[in-house]
Parts: sequence; structure tokens; C-alpha cells
Amino acid sequence: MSEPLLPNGFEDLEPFVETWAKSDFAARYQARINSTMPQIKTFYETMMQAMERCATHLEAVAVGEMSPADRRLLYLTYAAMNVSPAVELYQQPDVWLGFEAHRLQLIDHIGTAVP
Amino acid sequence: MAAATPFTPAAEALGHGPVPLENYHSESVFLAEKEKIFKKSWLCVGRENDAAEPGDYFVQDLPICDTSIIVTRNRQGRLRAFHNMCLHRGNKVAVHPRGNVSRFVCGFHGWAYDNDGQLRHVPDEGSFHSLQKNRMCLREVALDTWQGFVFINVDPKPEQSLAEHLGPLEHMFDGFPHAGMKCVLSLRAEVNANWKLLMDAYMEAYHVLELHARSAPNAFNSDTNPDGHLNSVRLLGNHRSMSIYGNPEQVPTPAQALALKFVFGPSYTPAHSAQALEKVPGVNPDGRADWAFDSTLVFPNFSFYTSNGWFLRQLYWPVAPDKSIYESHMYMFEPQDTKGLIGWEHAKTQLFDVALEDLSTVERTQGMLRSGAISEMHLSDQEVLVRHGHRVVEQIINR
Ligand code: FES
Ligand SMILES: [Fe+2]
Repeated sequence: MSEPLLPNGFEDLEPFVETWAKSDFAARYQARINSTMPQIKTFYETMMQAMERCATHLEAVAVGEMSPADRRLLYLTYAAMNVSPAVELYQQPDVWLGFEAHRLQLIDHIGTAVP
Repeated sequence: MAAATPFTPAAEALGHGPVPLENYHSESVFLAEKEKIFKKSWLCVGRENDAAEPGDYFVQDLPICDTSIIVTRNRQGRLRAFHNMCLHRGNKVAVHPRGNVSRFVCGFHGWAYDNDGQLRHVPDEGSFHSLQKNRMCLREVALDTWQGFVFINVDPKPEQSLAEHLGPLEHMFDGFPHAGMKCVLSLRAEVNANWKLLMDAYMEAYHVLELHARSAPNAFNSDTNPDGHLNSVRLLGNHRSMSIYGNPEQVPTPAQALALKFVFGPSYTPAHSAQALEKVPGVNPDGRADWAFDSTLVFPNFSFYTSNGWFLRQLYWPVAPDKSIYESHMYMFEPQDTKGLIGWEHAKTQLFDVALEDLSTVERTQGMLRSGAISEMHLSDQEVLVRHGHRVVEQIINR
């Protein structure tokens, strides 16, 4: 049997994995600003519906014991948070007239436990 | 209610006249700042737990002090700082931004130093004459700590101790629970603007209603405080601090509401800020429920933001008269469980987006300065900390 993309019961979110389940913040932000508003909205609306369900599943799993499928689910919830202001506030993928996002670098921080 | 900011006589004494823009691009002002401020001041370069274990180190390049420094924890657990310069022919000894070593080995000819800077090994030592290896140490830089922050001073004989430099700030944050918080996000950008122009973008809340209108609607103003006036300001010698009004009635967005439910302390949710806050003298000193956070500028270039459940360490590093480096580090309580991490992502996103907005006007302004079309700026009472910053720098460089 092949490895499941997402944990049991989250098959409905599988179509989003390829675009949105990114492990680092910069990649999620890139996915957001490279997407169209209809793509973002579909993802956001589906995820907001599913968020409590995701959180209930994830809180039962310790950070150190997540399976790859759990991780991808966590990254989907991250991406939903990441795109939320585009839908809720800006009505466009990026901030209005902002500094170029690629010039604001994320530097590897020291000693955090964030997966 | 929250209509006018109660300004102190000290703030009044700064006057009301326009402030010249010259200092934002003058080469001579920049050189004076370098010699009289940055090479003489205590500068925040990190957190104590950025080098938590013996052997841990990190490197901070300080172009404004013409150097790069290594901060490392020795075997006894003490933090020390050294110029990152080999005693042989001057090569940089540490080339990685951080790590854990018991020997810093210079990549040129292999001279090796321990975590006390002591020279331990010289390849082919016999070919040198009168080398007193045991007495040779990397050049030490003064280091001290405050509230978990690491400060260095490149002056070989600092005029003041760190405590003297901090003055009125020294005990203002006693009791702030920083030790339990972790770095969530670190940002860095090279910005084509003077360091003071960059810093000044963070020294007032007047811009919030326009520049952050979309990213933070109704968070920092309300019917009772329509212009989002500050709760209070404090001029503290060369330092300065302000408490930012927060609208307790602000309705969070759906994602923000979820983030709040998942983890304690996401930023920019004023309704959440004033809840059950331990009494720390410098944090919400007015004791108001309509408070978002405080922003304290530790002279010359370190902004310490404090709120309930998070703090921010932000730096404005001069590189050239029209070039700076922006650094921002967000710290929050570690989540109890995995779902708390979802809340962290929301806080990170807010911080990132707001930073893009804050940085946007800075280069646009710098790009116009040399036109000379205007030569001075008008500052309102709400921008008194900008005025204070210029006055402090002016007084020091004209000394
Ligand atoms: S310069 Fe460092 S070993 Fe030669
Ligand atoms: Fe701002």
C-alpha cells in the first residue's frame, strides 16, 4: 500500500497538497503571492471549514511524533493562515504597494522547535 | 477618553519647529555617527540563548563599527565577544553565522583559537620567530547582558557600563517573562535608506491609519480615539518609549480568531493584550485596557517591543548614508501543543506583511531626499519620538 498523502479522514484536502503543503514559511508565502485570488479563495474557504477538524487531529499528535501525512496536514493549516489576509483584508495576494517580498529574507533562527 | 496624549514637559521642551532632512543623507553626519555613536555605544547583537551551550557561537557583522565579531560561550558558561580577525594576517576566523566549536580554526593557515580567544595551535610554529603563543588572544570586545539581550561595545575602554548606558531603562522591564519565549521568526532586509529614516518609520503610530489601513483595520483606533493617539510617551535620556493605543473592541478576522483560540499571544490583537498582564513597570505603564503594546528604543538602534505574550527585537543597522540593514526577531511563548503552531503561523504572517508595509515608504522617501524639493519635515505631537531621536543624535555629533 502506498503512503497516504494526508491522515485518514482528510482525503477531501488532498488536491491542495501539491501547491500548499510547503514546509517553510518563505515557500508558503511564495505560493500565496504566485497564486490567483480564485485559487486562494477556494483553498482558504475549504481550509477554514476544515480547520477545527485539523486542529483536533493535530493536537493529539506530539510535534516529534508526526507522520509525513500529519506534517503535510499541518503545513496545509499553516498555508491557510498564511493566505488568510489576502482574502480577509487585501482582496489581492500581496499587501498593497509593499516592499518587495523577496527582499525581506527569513533568516534561520536559532534554537526553536518549530517543525 | 483617549483623545490627547499626555505629553511631558520634557517632550514640550523639544519645541515644535520643522526638522531638517539633511541628516538623512549627509556623508559627514554619517561619519560622525559612526565615530561618536556606534563605535562608542552598547549595541544589541542577540539573545543570550542564541549561544546557549558551552562552545556555541554566533557571528555579527558590524559594518558601522568596521568589524565583525564572534560571540561565544566558553567552557565555564560565560559569554565573551572577540573581533573576528585572525592574529596571523587578519583573515576572518569564523565564516559561518553560528555553530558549536571548541576551536575556531582560521581557514587561511590554520591558526586555532579556543572559546576564550586563546591561541592554541600554530601549524609549523617553529618557522616563526619570537611568537609568544600562550600570550596571544583574539582581540576581546566588551560584552554585557540585560533582560536576556547580549550587548557589545567595540570601544576598547567603554565610557559607560551597560547599566549606566541603560540608565532609566535598567529596571523598567524587570519581571517581563522573556525567558519562557522562543524566537518564532527572524527577518532581514537590505534597505536603501538612512538608518534613522528606517528607524523613524517605527517611532510613531501616526502612519498606522494610512499605511496599515488594510492590514490592521480598527486595531489601533476607535470611536473614542479616532486618530489613534498614543497612550503615552517617555523620553528617557537618549532612549525613548511609547505605549500604543489598542482598540479593545476590534473584531478579529476569522483566521485571527482561530489563531487566538489555538495559542496564547499572537500579535496585533489589542483586545487580547491587556488581559491578565503581570505588572512590569515599562509595560503598559498607564495600566489601560485599551493598550496594544509598547515600543522602546534602546539607543542607538534597538527597538524592544513588549506586549502580552510576545516581544520583538528589531534593529536598524547603518551601512552607508543611504543604506541600512533591517532586522526583526519575533519571540512568543512556546505552544502547549501542535495546534498552537497554527496560531504561530498567523502571527508570523502578520509580522511579515506589516514589515512589507513599513519598509515600503522608507526607500521611496530616501529616493527623493537629494532632489532638495523639500529640506525639512513637519512633525506633529504624535511624532515627538522622531523629534527626540533627531535631537539626541544632533547633540552627540555636535559635541
Ligand atoms: S590569517 Fe589566520 S592563519 Fe593565517
Ligand atoms: Fe508601522
